[in-house]
Amino acid sequence: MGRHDNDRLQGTLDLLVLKVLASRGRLHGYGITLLVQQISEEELKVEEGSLYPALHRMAQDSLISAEWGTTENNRRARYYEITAAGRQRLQEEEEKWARLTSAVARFLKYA
Amino acid sequence: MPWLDKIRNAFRRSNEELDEELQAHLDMRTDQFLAEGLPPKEARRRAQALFGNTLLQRERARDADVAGWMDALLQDLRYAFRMVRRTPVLTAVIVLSLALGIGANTAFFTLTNALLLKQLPVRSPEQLVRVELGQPGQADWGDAFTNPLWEEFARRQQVASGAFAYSSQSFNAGTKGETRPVTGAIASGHVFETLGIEPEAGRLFTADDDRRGGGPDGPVVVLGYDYWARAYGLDPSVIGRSVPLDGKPYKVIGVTPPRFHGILVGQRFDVMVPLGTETYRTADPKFLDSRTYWMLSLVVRLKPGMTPPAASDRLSAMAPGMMEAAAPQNRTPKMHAEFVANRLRVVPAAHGLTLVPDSFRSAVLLLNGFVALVLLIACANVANLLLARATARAREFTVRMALGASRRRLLRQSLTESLLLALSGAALGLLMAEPAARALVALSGRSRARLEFDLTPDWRVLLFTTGVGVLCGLLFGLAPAWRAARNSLTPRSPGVAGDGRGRLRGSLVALQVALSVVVLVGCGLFVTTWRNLNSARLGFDPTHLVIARVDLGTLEMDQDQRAAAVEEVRRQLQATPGVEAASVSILTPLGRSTWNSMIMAQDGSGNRREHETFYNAVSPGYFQAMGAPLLAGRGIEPGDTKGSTQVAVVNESFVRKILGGGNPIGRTFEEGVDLSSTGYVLRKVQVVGVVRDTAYHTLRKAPPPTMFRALSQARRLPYVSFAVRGPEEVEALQSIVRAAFKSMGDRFSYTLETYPQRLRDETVTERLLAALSTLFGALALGLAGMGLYGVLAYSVAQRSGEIGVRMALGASAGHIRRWILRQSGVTLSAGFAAGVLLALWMAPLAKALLFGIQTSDWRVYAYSLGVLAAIALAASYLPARRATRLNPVQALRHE
Repeated sequence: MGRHDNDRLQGTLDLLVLKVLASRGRLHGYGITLLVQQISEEELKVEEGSLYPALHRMAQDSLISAEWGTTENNRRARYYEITAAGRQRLQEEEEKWARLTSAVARFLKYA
Repeated sequence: MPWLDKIRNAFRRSNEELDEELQAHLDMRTDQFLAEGLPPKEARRRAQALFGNTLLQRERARDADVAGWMDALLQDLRYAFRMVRRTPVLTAVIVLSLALGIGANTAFFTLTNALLLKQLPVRSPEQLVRVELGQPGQADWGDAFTNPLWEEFARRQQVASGAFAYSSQSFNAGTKGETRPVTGAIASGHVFETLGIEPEAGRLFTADDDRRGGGPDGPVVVLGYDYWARAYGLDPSVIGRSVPLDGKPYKVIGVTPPRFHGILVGQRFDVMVPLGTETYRTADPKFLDSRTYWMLSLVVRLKPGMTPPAASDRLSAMAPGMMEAAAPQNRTPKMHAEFVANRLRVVPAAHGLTLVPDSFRSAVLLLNGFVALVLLIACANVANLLLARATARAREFTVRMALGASRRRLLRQSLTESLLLALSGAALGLLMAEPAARALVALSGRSRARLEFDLTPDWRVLLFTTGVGVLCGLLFGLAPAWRAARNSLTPRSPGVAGDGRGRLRGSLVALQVALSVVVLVGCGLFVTTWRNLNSARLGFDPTHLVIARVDLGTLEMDQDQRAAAVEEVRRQLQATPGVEAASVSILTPLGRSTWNSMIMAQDGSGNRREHETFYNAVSPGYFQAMGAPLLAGRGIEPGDTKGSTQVAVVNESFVRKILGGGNPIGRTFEEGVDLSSTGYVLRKVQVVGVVRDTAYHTLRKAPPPTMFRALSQARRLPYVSFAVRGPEEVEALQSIVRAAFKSMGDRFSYTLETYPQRLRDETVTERLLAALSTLFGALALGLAGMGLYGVLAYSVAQRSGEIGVRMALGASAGHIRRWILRQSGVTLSAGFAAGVLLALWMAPLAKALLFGIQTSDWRVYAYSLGVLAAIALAASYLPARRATRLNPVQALRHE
């Protein structure tokens, strides 16, 4: 069957991955995991494995590109890089996120 | 292109890259824990725990990579292949029976395609139209024109960017003795220019070459590519050489391209000559000036923007002038007015002009329907086989559903399997189709007029076969697929009746029986027609008889010299040892030509009336040579000369229908003769004898009123046939005739024919229909019998428990047998009733092809019921025996 459209978390995960790739450049899946955990100070915890369906889906949608490379420890790994379409999408997602959070923040403040 | 990646990814069975990527993640995580000082085992465990369910993520990532439908399709196909491998015999039976069915259908479609659908391989064939002539308001318009009409047409018409006249005739390419016939096309000068044909070698003739007696290069001829290959081995040096046609030298100037076979569908020309050279080939000087010699078809390429209706209007407006200018002379005012009232219209001719007799076309279309029925029966059989297998696979489907396969997925899986089978059958059928179509054409040709078609498969044939394959797959796949998808999760206990499967399969068999009835009825009608034609009364003795046809038109002699020459040859033939009787006549029975005469005669009550009668002119000894007994009076005798009393022998129906019965000897009537010297005159003719009715030009019509005039008093002598009778069989007699002609110095070129051959040619379509409908009938019967057997055997196996109980409770073997027979009887009668209705509804389609039998003849229906009942009995025998031999204890224990 088609893709598994998860809940909102999926969208959030996409956003984080795109953001990390946009700011840090070329990374493999494990590297992305580490950075996401590091930056979000272990606040956003998901199964590490769920990163991969997201990566593959975004690669198929041409938001990111993938190629095989070697890590500093001389291990073969698949490296991801953000594409122009990915940057475009990131910008849209960031704006959407900002609108959503500010709306939720306003609600929490005044409700 | 992501979607292409997705499809490509679907073909990778295991996604090694994905596995490697996930493993790399786990390894790096493990390394990190190891660096933190955890023991290896614990490090790996924690890495795995953090990662979560590897399998699930792997599947999800793969889903993102591949096109779902493609993946499922490949899975289905792989699965289907596995099923095919597991049941090789069943698969072979199914694929082969489908290949036969689809192959036969494709073969007939190939023929239909060549006959009706393929366009001429010329420039923009859709602009081509042919011209027809007829009376407004009447149904049958003719497409034949005289040369004067064509010349008027060419001079006056303003609708065409190109136009030509076309005709076809057999030429003799030999020099002496027995003829070597080639198919000749005769066309006016603009033919190649109008069609847009470029030469393969040399040049093609033009309007310059189309002059009376030949153009600047004299009489020229263009060769067809096939003939160039066959007769000259593609030798280019033949161009410029001179070849004889009907004894006259023609200069070869070029060859047409391989794809161009002329404009007549069903015939390929060997040689093509300009119309103008006809005055050179035939010695008949009036040939091109005759206003009553209807031999030309007119083909026109319409000007750009000119539609056929507009062209018809324009042509009809110019028709009166054209008709007036080329009307036959010396006609009564009424006939003249009728002629001038003719109008013109155009009909699309993109597919060429058809030379194929209507009967052959209807036969092909009808047999098309037959093979479609047989394919339907085969589909029903395959559906039955698959249904039986679906039952055997019920457990498998239940398991798959329990594991979470959706109904839709099972339906699709089942259909994929059917389509795989159907398309394999179609591919195999396509391979068989072309040779089969060639064999069909070879079977349908007459000895002197072979049918030639372009049978190479084109996109239409491919599309047809694929379409039929898919349709079959859906047809026979739907029932099992529906079954599979409706499978319930609760297991069924075997041996209990009433799950509805038997009923569905029973109806399929009833359908097979119904369709078989249609095929059998058709078979009965055609076989009877063929037998009727074969036993049709000829009225003469066709054995020990050889006919030698001689074309006199190419000889430079006037009519009296011709008459003297043929009489001389006849006398020498008569004197040859091994010859009992030799005669000469213009026509011989079943020679396919007809001559008519207008006569004025008084019937029994003295009323003078005009009649049209069939005509022949014969020498003394004709009736003896033909073995046609004289009933009264005398035959034509040597004393009947040009100058003596005009005499005729007439046949029985002439006496009955024209003279009104009574003794006709000595009575006179008047014959209308159109002599060039005197114009149309009435000539008094005396009846001197009566001969028994004999077949004239066809077996299908009762002998028409015919008069046999003395050959010495014949109107014209364009050709004659010698009839030679002797005690030898026809093969030996042919040699005697050849030797006799040779000893006379091969004065004439002649063509030998015999009656076995003419009768075979006469019934060629009927023979084809009878043979093929018998073949298809047998096929249909076999398939229906197999279907019935399958259903009965299945029902016995399924109800073994029930039968066991019945037998344990005292049912006799007879009871059980009757029970089985009743079951097959119900299926049979339901199918038969439906089939009879279907056959009665469809039979009128075949009416035109029948002879001596009505479409609703009860005997045909009774015989098909008998045959079907016999087949049903045979199919019931084994299941019935098995049922009565069931051991009750075993059957019950099985449950």
